Amino acid sequence: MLDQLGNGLLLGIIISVASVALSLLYGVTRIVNFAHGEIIALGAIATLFFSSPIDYRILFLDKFSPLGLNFALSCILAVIVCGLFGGLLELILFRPLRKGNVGNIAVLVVTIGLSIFIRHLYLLFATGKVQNFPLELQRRQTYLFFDMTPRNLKVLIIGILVMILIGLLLTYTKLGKAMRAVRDSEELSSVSGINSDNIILITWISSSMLAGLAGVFQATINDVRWNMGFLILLLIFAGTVLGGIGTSFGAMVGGLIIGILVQVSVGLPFMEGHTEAKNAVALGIMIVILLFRPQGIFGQKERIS
Amino acid sequence: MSSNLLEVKNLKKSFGGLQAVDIKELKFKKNQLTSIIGPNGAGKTTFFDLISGFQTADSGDIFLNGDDISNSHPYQIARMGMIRTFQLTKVFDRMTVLENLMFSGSSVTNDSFTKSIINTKKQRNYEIELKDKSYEIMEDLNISHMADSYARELSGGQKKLLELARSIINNPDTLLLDEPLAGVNPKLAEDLLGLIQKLASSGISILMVEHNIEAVMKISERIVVLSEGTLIADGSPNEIRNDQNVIEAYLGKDDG
Repeated sequence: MLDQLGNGLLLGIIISVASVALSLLYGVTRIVNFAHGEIIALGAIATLFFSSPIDYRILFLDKFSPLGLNFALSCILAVIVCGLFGGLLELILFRPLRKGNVGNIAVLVVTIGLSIFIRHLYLLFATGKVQNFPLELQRRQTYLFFDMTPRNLKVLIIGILVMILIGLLLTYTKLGKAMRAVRDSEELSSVSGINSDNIILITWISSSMLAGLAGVFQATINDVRWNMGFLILLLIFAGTVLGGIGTSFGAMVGGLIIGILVQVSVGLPFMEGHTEAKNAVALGIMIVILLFRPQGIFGQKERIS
Repeated sequence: MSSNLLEVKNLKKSFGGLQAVDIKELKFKKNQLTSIIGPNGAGKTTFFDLISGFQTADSGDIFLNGDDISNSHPYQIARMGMIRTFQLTKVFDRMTVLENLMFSGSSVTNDSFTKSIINTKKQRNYEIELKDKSYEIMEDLNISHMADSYARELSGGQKKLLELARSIINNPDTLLLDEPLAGVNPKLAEDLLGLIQKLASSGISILMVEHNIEAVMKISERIVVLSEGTLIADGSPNEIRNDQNVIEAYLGKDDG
């Protein structure tokens, strides 16, 4: 079972980063964003486009040549692209919906539609083939009590650093406080001199950048697929709910727990030969925990966003 | 510079076929306590929403200290020193009372994100000052023992006090009070009235929407009466008390 701990940590950090992003957006805007998975996939697809060698012609109906940029640079650019995409979604879609007082359920349905629409655009233009980043294969090594490739260890460390940074930002900066304020009451924030439209725009951008980063992680550890975000979305929701909806700190821990549970459960004796059912154990445990703690592990009482 | 604090001209707002506000001209002087009264649906809150930027007028102009604010956002108007409260009390539920005050206190004058990331000595001193000031106001309003309670744990009356504290922490020029006495017990209503009068005498211009006519008559220097969105009377409490239009609007026309 423990040999799966390394994989569990990796899946955990992907879900954790993505859950924080989802939770942040929900916390400030009350939008349950089903298109979150597509932003995750965008992070991976954009990285693939930026970094693949220029003679590589699977992407984009063979019409566009990839850019062949340095890999790290490609990842950063991809995360920025995701941020811009999220900002654009807010400006052209969600802000007008908000100003028109469209209800939460209607907005939820819009995000589901958006998710399906974008996902199939990927299928059309980025092909349905499973693809990999242009990285050489690495051998797993043992670190402390888990093993993983040096590259994946880097992913884990970057993930943890990003989470710490986000935690500090939300707790101590005026931006973080303003996000908490807008979450509690948009109207009251504005009479306190806060431009809530700006705060919501920044929230969309940062949430989408985090989602993009989760996509880069996911594709670095595994591979790039048109529906990769959708496949992992349920686990992200599970992580968010487990940690306590709307609390970023809860989402971090909840995401990590779900990721570890999913992978570690592969090692359970009765799971032998049934690894495709690995989500079942984790989601089952989530349901049991929620029965005893309906507000999630860090729900409500948590002070930091 | 005009000596008028707030000035509206040909202000119109309708919802569907309903004319909610239709005011030809209305001026408010500085350093006055003016109440806006009228029957339910008279357009009082809509009028507040229009002048505080929460709704945009269909037509007409609004000037605050001579500046056109007809198309300004609520946060811009707040930064200009006109702070409003809400009919249904709003507080930051998930912040403590002290955090509520410090947040509202800091954001208007000092909302730079870089400043909070680069935590300078100046910034720290500023926060200490703000904290002292928050405590000062909480003592005045008798809520300092609640400083570390979450705002969601407060009673309705305490929330009203917190809202008032929040709205004065930035030394506003103007307060828009939307039914400050609604839903509070008589004792607290009395206290709130005293506080409002104290604020008015300290030089803050106050516009107040209130249903408690007795209280309005007692503390207002001027009363503006709206009915069905239009201005039907404007004068001192005594003039309003005997105004035929006002009596009709409240009691209905006597077709006798």
